[in-house]
Amino acid sequence: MNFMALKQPENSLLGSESDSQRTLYPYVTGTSVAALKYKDGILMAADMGGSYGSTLRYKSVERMKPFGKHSLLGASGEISDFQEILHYLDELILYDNMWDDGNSLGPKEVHNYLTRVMYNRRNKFNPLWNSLVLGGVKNGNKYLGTVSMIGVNFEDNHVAT
Amino acid sequence: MSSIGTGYDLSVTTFSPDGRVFQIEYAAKAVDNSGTVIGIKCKDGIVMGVEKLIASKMMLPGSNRRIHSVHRHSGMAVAGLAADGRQIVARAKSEATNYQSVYGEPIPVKELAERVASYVHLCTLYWWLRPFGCGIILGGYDRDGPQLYMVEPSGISYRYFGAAIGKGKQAAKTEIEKLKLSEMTCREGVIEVAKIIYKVHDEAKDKAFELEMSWVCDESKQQHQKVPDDLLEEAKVAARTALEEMDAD
Repeated sequence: MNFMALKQPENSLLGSESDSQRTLYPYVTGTSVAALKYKDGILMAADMGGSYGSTLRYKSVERMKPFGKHSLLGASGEISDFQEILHYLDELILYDNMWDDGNSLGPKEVHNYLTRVMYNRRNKFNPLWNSLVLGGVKNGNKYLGTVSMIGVNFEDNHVAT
Repeated sequence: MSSIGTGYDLSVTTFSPDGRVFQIEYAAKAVDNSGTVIGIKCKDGIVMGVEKLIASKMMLPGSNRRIHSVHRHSGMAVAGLAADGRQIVARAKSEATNYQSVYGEPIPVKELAERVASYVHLCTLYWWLRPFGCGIILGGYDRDGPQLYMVEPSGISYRYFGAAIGKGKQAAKTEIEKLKLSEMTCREGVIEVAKIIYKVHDEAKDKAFELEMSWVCDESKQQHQKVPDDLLEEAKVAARTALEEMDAD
């Protein structure tokens, strides 16, 4: 996909593209995710497409996944980065389960964790190229939040990427 | 049964003339002084139980967990020096998550037992480390069904149908041998383990104890977890009744 190559001015500080080990641009991407709170909980919606540029290459990509007992994560942007985030979350939930103390991570806690992950990656100039929507219900409390690839996060009654 | 090492027991890197490493044997003594820990393999899973000797009435019940989950599908019960046990559990958790990360599936119980045993053995090879003063009973449920392993301070690990370590291990082993484990479900196993622990508890030497039990079986969806409170209560009641019937004779 060379037409997406970064055109840099002569005095750029970014360094050569071929030397870079960090994420420069996304390849297989997902489009928007929308979510809203309603009386009984959270509703989240996304299509199942993974696009390769303008081609709809993968047509059965699950861009929303439940995890833990209380939460649902939806992502737009680079699909492989989304899979990496799911990997991190699996480990997080596993450690949480191992305490076996009757407590479990709720959507608010996970939202905070993801914000920190996204922001720290951004600061290293190696972002996870996703916009995430995090929703869930714990002890009757509904929670809906979003995190962008630069670490901007907020909580609202309806969010979309 | 005890023998004096005199001179050959100062370091774990020294053999005695009759081929023994005394430091490891002394480590095993630390395990023998701790409360009894039992594990049994039933038809559909593993049950583990610990006799937690209570040092003080001020301790909150349910604290000082002796049985730890290592991954979703397996758990370890520790006897001996509790702090040493925590180290081993931490290492086991780390091995399990690492395996999951690399191979994408939960660590097979056999592999986990080997890694834990290997780690325990490691600490018997260097003079600047002391052996772990704990024995471990490891129970898990993977593709090959439920499995039970025991790891000793020497680093030896074997697979068992039933295992016991700690103060009452001799009496416990005798009791376990009486059970028909291959026909027992975990629900029945929980009751039996409780009965055995109550039976081997020495009322004269140790005053109070708390019973902690966990299982991993079909009923718990192959997840390692504490035995549910209602079943635990049922087991305790059955154990106390069995004890009273015995005393009545």
